[in-house]
Amino acid sequence: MSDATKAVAGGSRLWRAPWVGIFSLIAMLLGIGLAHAVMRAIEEALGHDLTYIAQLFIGAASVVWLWYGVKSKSENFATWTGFFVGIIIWMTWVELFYMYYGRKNFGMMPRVDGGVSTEPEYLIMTATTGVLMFMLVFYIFDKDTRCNMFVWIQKKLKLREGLGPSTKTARDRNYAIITFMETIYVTWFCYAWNLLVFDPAFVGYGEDAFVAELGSVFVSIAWGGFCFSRLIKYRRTSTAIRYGIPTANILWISVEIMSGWGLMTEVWLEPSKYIVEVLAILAAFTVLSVLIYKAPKKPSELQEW
Amino acid sequence: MVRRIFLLLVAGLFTTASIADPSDSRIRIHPGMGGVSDIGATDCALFNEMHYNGPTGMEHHVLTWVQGYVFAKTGSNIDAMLDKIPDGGGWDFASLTGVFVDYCKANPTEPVSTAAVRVWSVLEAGQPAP
Repeated sequence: MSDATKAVAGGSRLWRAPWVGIFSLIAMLLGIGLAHAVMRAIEEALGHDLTYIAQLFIGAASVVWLWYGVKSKSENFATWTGFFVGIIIWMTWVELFYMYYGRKNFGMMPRVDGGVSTEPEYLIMTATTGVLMFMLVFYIFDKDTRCNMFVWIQKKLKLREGLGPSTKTARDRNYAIITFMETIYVTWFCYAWNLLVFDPAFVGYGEDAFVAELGSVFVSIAWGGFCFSRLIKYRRTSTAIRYGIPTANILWISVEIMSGWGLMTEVWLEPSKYIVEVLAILAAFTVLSVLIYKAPKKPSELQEW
Repeated sequence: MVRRIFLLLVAGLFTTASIADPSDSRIRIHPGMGGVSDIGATDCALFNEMHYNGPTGMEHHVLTWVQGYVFAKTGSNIDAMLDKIPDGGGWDFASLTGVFVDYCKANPTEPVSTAAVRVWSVLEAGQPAP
């Protein structure tokens, strides 16, 4: 029996439900905030033009990390790698091209509502909602998907029988690339959701927009809360991290909207101004991530696949 | 289930069509767009914020606005003014727009129209590009 399995067998009170899920969700929420802060810090330090170049190289370097994750036989390492590389690729390559074309090449202007409310890159990003939706259709009709939400939709649409049995088992999956795609797709989905809710062309201004925003907060908390109620039952840390990614992103919708209402200050958007707060978040995220990474693992997480 | 979803989609389509208001013809920027409806009515602080988030677009927008401003004031245009300066004074898109970008940085409380006057007066004085 391995040391880690002994630790589980020894009865760690900390790494059990509901703590595994709670810690995972907090880590993922802190991770989203930090991702914003890192991007802003790079932009503030290098300026726009150098940031475009830096983003290209940072993204490429993260793919090398992904290469290690994909090759790894450790579910724990592969999951964390997929998460980090997914978030880095989003911050760099994805944001890079939207920023370059929006701010510089296409010469778009930001949307203004009092002050700047939506930057050019996000005006373009809203236009990718159609691409996002067709990929959603693919996942809904993909018999090999194991995402809980898509499986639930397939059951509701009575598709399971028609699709036939999955050709893959859990052991056929590569957790690094799955977590990588999950992180990117969920981030994209939540960005699109947020941007549509903030688009006055669809929701109007003032009270009209408030109704849409309030509805969005309700859906975000209800949906995220439901996911959280499932997450706190998880005992495997790798699975909890993978389920924590969408849970945190869905709940983050409310954070963005509440920030728009002026109920909170998003310190991660101004890292140089709120350096102490951002460093505190960084420290908390680092400690929590290391603890989760090194937490005793269930026997099924230690087996090679 | 699938039939219910289809009926909901059809109902959504009709609802959307019924609430659309084509009679709203006030002159204003389309709400989904970037930018402002009247650049001359904004102040340099907003210009600075917008310029940081969309430099190329803001520079193009303001230079176009300045073209109209100069034509309204003089009946001439920027190209004609540049022709009067030996070798065009080395002015180009970046240096022309740089005049009001720098002006607005230094004078955030001033209206953008003052920055346009600054461009005009620099060119009228026959100054070369900085």
